[in-house]
Amino acid sequence: MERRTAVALSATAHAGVLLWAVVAGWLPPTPEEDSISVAEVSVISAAEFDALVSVAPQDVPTEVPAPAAPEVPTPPQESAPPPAPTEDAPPIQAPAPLAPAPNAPEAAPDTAQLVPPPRTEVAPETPEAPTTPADAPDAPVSDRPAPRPAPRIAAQPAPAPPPATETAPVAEAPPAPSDVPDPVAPAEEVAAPEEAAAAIAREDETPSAAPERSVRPGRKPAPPARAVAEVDEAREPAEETPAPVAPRQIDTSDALAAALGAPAPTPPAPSGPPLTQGERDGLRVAVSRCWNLGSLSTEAMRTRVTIFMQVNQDGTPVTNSIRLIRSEGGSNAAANQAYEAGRRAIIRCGADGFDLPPEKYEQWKEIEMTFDPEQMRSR
Amino acid sequence: MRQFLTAIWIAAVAALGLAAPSAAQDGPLRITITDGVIEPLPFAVPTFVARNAAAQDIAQDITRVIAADLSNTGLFREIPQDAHIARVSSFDSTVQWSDWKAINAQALITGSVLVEGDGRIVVQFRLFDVFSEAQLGDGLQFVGTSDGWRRMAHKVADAAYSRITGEGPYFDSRVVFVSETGPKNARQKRLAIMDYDGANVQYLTSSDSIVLAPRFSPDGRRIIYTGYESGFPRVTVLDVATLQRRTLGDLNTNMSFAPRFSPDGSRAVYSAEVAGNTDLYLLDLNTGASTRLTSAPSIETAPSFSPDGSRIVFESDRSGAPQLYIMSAGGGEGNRISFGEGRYGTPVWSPRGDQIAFTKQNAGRFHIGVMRIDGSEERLLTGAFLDEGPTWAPNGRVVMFTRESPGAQGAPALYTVDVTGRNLQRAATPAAASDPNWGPLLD
Repeated sequence: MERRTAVALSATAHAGVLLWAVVAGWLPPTPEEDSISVAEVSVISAAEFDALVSVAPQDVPTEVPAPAAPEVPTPPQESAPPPAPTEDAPPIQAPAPLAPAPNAPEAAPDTAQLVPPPRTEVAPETPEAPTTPADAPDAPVSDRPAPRPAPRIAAQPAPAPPPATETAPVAEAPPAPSDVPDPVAPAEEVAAPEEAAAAIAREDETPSAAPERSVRPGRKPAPPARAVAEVDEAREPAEETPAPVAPRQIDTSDALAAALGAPAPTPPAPSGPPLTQGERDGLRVAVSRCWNLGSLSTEAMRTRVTIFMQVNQDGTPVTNSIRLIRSEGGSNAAANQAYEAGRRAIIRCGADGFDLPPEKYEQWKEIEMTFDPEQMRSR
Repeated sequence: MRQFLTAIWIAAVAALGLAAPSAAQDGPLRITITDGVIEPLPFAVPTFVARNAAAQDIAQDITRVIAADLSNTGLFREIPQDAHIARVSSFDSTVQWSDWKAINAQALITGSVLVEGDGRIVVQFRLFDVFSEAQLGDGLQFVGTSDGWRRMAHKVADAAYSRITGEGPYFDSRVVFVSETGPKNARQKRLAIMDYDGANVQYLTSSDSIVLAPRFSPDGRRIIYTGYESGFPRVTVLDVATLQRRTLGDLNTNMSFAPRFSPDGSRAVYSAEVAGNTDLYLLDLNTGASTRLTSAPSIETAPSFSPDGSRIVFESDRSGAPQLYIMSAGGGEGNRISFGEGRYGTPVWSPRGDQIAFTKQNAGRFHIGVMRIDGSEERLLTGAFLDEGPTWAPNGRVVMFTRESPGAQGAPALYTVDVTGRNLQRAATPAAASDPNWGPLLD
């Protein structure tokens, strides 16, 4: 405590001394300088005085900015330009052709007036800011409040969370009424609310609940569709397109109803949107990996063949359906060799099924694949 | 900033286009494949089934030759027998597709060998496309003598090769060449003939005189070459079966060389120096009548007929440096077809008629190259200290040539290269060899 008081007293005493020195020393020097200058003027003659007066405006500015320049290396550069444009404005205006528009006359005066003040003020602040962040808030607090709104906002939302948690229990009621109004079959209504209620209750108790997972995959009928497709391979020949789709609809609807507790009529038709370019590229790359031209004749390497094939729902090509549709650029023998190479590629890389979206089966159940060796000939 | 925003916009549009469904399709999905792989096709050839005890060894030998023929093309890769899962105990047994697929055998060759009581050999074979689970072509059967078992193996390999690649066969063929022995400054040269794979080498001439540039007749029964029996280079014809020789041409010349048969075998075109000028001549082998084809003050040599016999490609230095020209078989000025840098020589017309192989010397290196008959699409297949004298395989897919190594110990050797420039291989010869000429397919 004693040390603190001593420091405080010492600091106040020093501050007082310094303040006194500043106040006391401020007045004497200025009058001294003025007096000195006045004494010199009194000695000079009128003619000389006139001559000095004519030169005075030039000397005065040189004396004043001189001390300012050494203070900071950067400021003088910035402070220098401001006067420069104002004084050099006429020579800069010389390239008038560049600014024949009305902007030219306005730009000169505006810059002369606006530039000097901000630059002189900014120059000293910038060096202070990096040195100590504490100083920065003091001086430019009012000028740079940009980052501050964030913490203030963060403090305000704090009270908001409580209401959110309070609304949570209230939200339990809406799910039930949302399911109730649905005009679904009675059997499904019973199942739906039970699972929904159970899920909600278990969510509070245990983080992982079975119904949760069943709900998510329910939105994508793809996985069950594949399983159904594999089982129903035998039905394909008899029922070309709709047959394999029907069982998939039933299964997915049941799964969705059981999971969501609501009748979610999924699109029954297997036809989906056309393949994306990425999906087409995926198929192209898959076949390219097995398209071996190494054993082809030079003539077959100049032959372009188009091969048709049917594809099972599991992505495997129907081998018996693979056939040559057309060929260009070679003899029949060469076309046959090129066809065989393409056929091998399809069968080999399609053995495990091409990675195609099951929901778009209608789009790729039949494929025409053209094998063009043009680029490969140069390799 | 504007550029940055523009780039973001373009990227977003591109990403949207990639993810967006393609235009609605009408009919089947249409995909174009432009990229593939160029790899040797893996095949399996289990040892041919020996149908009797006498066929045990020869079945093994035939199987090995078949595998070597296909593998040496660079277009096929044999799957070692110890990797085979399925065992073929009978020629007519059912193919276990899954076992062959498991080892990625895309082609399967099965066969059997029977040695009959009179010593004749019966070889049967079948070729299968494993992943298609189907037989490629019909099964074939060859019958021959025991000393011709290699030819039967070549026949089987030829059939498999042609069915898979679509190229013509060439394994069952022979090559005539100049066998060289002795030091480099005193080489002894003899004409020799061998199977395309270096087996069954036979010498046709002694080393008493120099022999150069032997060429098979279209039927493979005669060889025409430049012999020095008289002390001067003269065109000579040799009967392969009887080894009887006959010097051709009764021209009052000092030298005749670089002969080659016409496609029908009734004529021969060659170079002859008359009064200090070298031109091309056509000799009727039946009548002995000779016709002068060129009459330029320059040197015309190395003529080669087109397969249809209507044109001749040759080498001439009429432009100041050796270049290639094509003229009618009846003679004439000819049209220059080579315009690249360097010197071109020894042109040989492809059996298919669409390309010309040649020797090119440029920037201190020799190359074997091919170009279309109009001089376009020139491609250099090799490059070395000294490569020269190309000759085509009967199917026009492979080129054989002479490569000589540098230095005092350097010696010529025969090499083959695929017309694509891949699969450069040295041909097996018992000694140094040069000037190869690939004969026709054997009957």
